[in-house]
Amino acid sequence: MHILKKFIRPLEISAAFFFLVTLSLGCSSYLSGVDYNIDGPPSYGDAIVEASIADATTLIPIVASDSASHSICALVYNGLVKYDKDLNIVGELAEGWDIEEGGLVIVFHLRKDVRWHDGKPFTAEDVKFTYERLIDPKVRTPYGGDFLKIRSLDVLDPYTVKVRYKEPFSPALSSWGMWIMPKHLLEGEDLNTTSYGRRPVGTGPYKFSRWKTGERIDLVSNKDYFDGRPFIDRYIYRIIPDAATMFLELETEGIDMMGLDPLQYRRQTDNRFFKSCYNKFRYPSFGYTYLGYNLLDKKFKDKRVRKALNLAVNKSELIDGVLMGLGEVCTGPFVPESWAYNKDIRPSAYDPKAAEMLLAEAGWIDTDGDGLLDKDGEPFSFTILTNQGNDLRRRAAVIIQHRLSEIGVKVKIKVVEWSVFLTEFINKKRFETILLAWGLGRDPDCYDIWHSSKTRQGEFNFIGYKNNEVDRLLEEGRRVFDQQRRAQIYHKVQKILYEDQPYMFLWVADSLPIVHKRFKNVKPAPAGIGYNFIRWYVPKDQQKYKQ
Amino acid sequence: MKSYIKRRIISIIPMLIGISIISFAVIHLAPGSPVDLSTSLNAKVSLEAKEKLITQYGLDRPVFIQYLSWLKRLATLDFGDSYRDGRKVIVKIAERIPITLLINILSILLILCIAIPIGVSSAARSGSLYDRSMTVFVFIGFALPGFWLGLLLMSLFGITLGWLPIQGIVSLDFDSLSFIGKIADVARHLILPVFVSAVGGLAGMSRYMRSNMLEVLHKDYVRTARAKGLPESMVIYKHALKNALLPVITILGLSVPGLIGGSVIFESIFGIPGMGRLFYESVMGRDYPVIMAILVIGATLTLIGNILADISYSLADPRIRYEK
Repeated sequence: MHILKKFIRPLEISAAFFFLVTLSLGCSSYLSGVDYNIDGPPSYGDAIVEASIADATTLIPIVASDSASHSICALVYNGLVKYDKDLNIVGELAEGWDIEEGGLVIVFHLRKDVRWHDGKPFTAEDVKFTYERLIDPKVRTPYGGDFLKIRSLDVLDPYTVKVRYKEPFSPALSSWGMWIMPKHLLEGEDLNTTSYGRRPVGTGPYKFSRWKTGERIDLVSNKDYFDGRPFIDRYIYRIIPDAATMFLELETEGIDMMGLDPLQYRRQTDNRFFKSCYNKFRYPSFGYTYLGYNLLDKKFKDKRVRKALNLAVNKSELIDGVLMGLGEVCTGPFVPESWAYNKDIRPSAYDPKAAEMLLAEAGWIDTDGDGLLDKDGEPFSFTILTNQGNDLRRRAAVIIQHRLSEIGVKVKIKVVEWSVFLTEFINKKRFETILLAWGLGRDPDCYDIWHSSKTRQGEFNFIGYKNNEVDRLLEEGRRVFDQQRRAQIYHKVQKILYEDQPYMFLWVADSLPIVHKRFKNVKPAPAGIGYNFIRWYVPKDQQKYKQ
Repeated sequence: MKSYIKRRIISIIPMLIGISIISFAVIHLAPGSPVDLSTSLNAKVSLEAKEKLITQYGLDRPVFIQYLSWLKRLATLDFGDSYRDGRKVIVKIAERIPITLLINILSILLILCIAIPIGVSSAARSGSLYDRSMTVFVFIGFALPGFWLGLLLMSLFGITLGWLPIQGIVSLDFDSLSFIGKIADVARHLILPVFVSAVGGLAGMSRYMRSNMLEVLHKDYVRTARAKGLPESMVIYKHALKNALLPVITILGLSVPGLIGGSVIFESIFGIPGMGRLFYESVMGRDYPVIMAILVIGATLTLIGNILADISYSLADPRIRYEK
């Protein structure tokens, strides 16, 4: 009998305590009597622990394609250029550049005070080496595309690189944000399998320290960093594969920084403990969610139908219902914070009456009184296809289904595993509508998504959109370097796209990072919070991790 | 006996080839390809780059050619490189195995330590209130979803009480600990995962033990022992238990492949970098070399486990003999 007791008791207690957990205690387990609201003077030391669902794969930057690897590469390596907090391109390893011959040639002037983590100086040869590997057919890099447009790359002197393009290509400048690799270490190595993928050497603010697969990656600050020594001495990247556990770990202060989901942001962190220990931030993310129509489907060929569906779906309701209000309506394929976004386009209001009228105009009327619109004897019904593992999209599909049923359109929802989703449905264009999202780069060029030449299997205009004016504008947008003129071009693109409605643009979700309160100087900007990471600091008396 | 063992071992080879052909076919039949995860719907990745990757991995060749080249490499015990990060498959598996083994062995030991006494005492008092409540208890453990119990216990011991760590196998400051401190640290981290993984296994083992015991208790030699006037405890623990334990050998043999297998959900919850997560990640990423290696190793261990069970059975029980 004693065995029974021994095992049942913890269960009972845990059930009881489960409710107590929500009654939160104050901050903090490691220091008592410290007020995190005091800023204090900047000071070196401490460590920051960030959590990630997935482990990195390789830290060879041109081979890495997952976000975990990118998080680490971003601290270990530098590009020639980077985006500043207001999303303007500024120099990083390059201190300046000249654009010559109408955009055919870019000459980069490199910084002379940069050293690799092993002490060797950084030079133009490293840039050339990185370029050659990017276009090397033997290297498994997914990023060759932009660099195949280069005709030649010449090293003029150890600190000057001249890049000549086959044709003017304005996204080229931002493509040089690509992380530069050390020639002296990687020359002669097979980049697909080299051991440097597990012990990278870069020029960045943090040096690689160690990697315990599936557990954590440790970095230490680069005291000789050319842009100033980072204040935080150590960076620890913890891999916590389960979202629920990650949040529990946050409650024990085992994590200093993670991204929240809307429910966690609104409800679960809205208590005394989190208010005294953590700061929450909120700003638009770089990406948008949309409902894409297969334009090869005869139902969706008529623009009036697409406009009507857009009028019949209430976007604010979607954002409130799915994102708990933590997002904004979008009207085009650019980041709302970007100069390319056309702020003059007002999202059309929710108007089911107008939607019904438009559909009637297009021939969709409920003739047989069954509550469904029909045309030529066929009821208006289609399937929304989305991928498994994203609950927000599934819930959005349900809300859309409900709204469309009110105007007599029957919607079915199908959720499919990612790999199958791509190969069997997207690539083969076997879908009616898809609910998906695009993550966006900082450059507004979206030629690959909207240009009518990009509709082959495996390319990104899988909805089959074709508009000659958009084609022309997208081509021009790639040739022009002047930001003001490019802005005008992309404003026009956005206007036409919103008029054409090849996608029903749904929302731009907010990024919701949470950062421990001992970190100071965290200042949200259009670029997010990470842009000044090396200037974050913890005052001496609030430091948690000693050396 | 020797020739029997030899025959059994040789018979493994065609079986393994058959298993590998089926596995290879099935994973290649599944839609999707290894390049999907890294390239698809990333507007920065051009179609040309994707095609280049497919050629690089040799995925443009017919499946049976791919199989033959895989088999050829396997013959030299080379499992190839992972598609995901280019590392040797065998290295990736080797770094996952120790922790998986450790947790599985500890959990089997815990199961044996608890389930055998439960089974024996239930059988001795079969039909009593104790027997029935034990049955209910082990089946509750069997029915509880591991992830739910895990989260509940983490929330209690990790957050409310703050006694135990909830994540991973070592603390962040592990390196600065003394040797004893390190052992204590790992032990503290292992308590919850080992406990949770054992709870689900109690039912099978204790029920099995109980029915073996009941069967043995009806045997003539037990009646003889009782007739001799031996005390009941002597009858049960000396005469009956030994014989009832024999079939447990089979179970242990069959659990050999399970030793290197891990549960995805369980490992994810506790943040343990074990085999379950490796297998799951490789399936989701269609990382064929890793999937195949794990399947082949699992199949080999299953077959070897079977042989071991048969052999040890004959060693433990003189009544069983394998001729030619």
